[in-house]
Amino acid sequence: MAGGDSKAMDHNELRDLTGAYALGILTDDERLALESHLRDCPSCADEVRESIEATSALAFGVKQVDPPASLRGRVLAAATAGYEPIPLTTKPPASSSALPYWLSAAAALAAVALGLYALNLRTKVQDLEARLRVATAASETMQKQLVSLSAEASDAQRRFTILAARDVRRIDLAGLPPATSASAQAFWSPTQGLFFAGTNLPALPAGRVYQLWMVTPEQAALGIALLTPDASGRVTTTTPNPAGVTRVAAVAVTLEPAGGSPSPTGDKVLVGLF
Amino acid sequence: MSAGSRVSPPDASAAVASQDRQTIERMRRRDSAALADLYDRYARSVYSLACRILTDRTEAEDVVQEVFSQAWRQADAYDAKRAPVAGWLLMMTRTRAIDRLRARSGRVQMVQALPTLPDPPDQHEGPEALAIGEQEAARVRAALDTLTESQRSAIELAYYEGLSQSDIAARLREPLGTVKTRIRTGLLKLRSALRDAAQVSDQESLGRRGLEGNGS
Repeated sequence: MAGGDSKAMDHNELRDLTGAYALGILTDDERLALESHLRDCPSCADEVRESIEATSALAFGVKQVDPPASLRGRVLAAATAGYEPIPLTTKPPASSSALPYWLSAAAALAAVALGLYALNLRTKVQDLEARLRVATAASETMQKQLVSLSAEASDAQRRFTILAARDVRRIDLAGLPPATSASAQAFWSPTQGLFFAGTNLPALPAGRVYQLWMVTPEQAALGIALLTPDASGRVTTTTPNPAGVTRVAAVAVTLEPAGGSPSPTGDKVLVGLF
Repeated sequence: MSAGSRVSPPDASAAVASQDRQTIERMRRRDSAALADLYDRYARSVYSLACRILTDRTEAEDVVQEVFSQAWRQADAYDAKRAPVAGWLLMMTRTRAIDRLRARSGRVQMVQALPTLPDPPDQHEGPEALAIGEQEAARVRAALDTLTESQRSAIELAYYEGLSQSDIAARLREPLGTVKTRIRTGLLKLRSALRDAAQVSDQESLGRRGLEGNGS
């Protein structure tokens, strides 16, 4: 964890979270802190495992109701129609060989951090629902900020356009050690641009800035934006799509000298893969 | 093996687990009859859980469709060491149902991703005992009865409504720390009650097997 994190929990506080973790109700901060702790603490890992088994039991304890007979045909047809299986391995997908050397190890780490279930396996419905949730959240924020400068308004408008674009895709980014609590989401539309939202980024050392990169399958790393998180570690940015970029392999954030660098030189902080 | 397609006999749980793994294997080879077998075994449990959470049958039907679609697409990702197939499907079910529940009430926080099971110990036992059937459902309800009322309320609010711990504390009008402790100790108590019940049923089935002289 970044030095000087005054919110670090002690073992008892972390152990108190094992049940809630199994129930899926922790906040992001709590979840990341506990997951990081579980790697080093077998007794808490055992508690989590037992709690997850217990929650599975809760699923079985509900009153059993038969689904309508007509559902079977619909479900089987819909499930097997049109979806090509995406084989999952514990490493990033085959395109990782196309990642530049400075990113591939970090990408493997990020893949593990994000969990196999999160990588590249979202239905259209899930995508739409996720985008709707983010757009709705953005709308709520906007309503609270009615006194807005026109620059803010057009920024929010560009954000909406990206989130609502037909060709938008979402990437989840995972924080890399020591910034394992950091996380981010990027929404990329080749036609409309990129919207990036990061949380829990460590405070910047003096003379440094975070830089956001898009990495193409041809291994080019394009500097997209410079990021300075607020006091709570949050940062967002909205940018147009770089000219000529139609495919993206990965999105990454590195720590660079103030003013940015022409190519990534500093520590990798966040990585997400397509 | 005497059981037909129903899974109620208590000693069928190991057989169920083994058949389920084979079903997933066939699904990985894109055998769509395997998905039909999976549906026939688990659609009722998936639908029942979705109904309980959403209290809306149409939405519950949508969730069933999403879960089996996801299972078909993610058969490669299934890891038998992490969860039995039933548990895997029901985790998906709950996640999707709670997602919809939260969207309904306008709460837009993202659902926590599926909890990642840590690596299992070398001798992983237990989940195979959680087979489905009316008998098992009754055992689960009996195990839930061993919890105190406040433990049970907190856990049910978390499980069936996906409320955060602070929301549960507000709803139950209790301090947050108390809620956290109740959830933790309640789940551990539930687990040990289930384990005790499983041991009893294992002994019963061992006894039965002894009488019938079946090999395994």
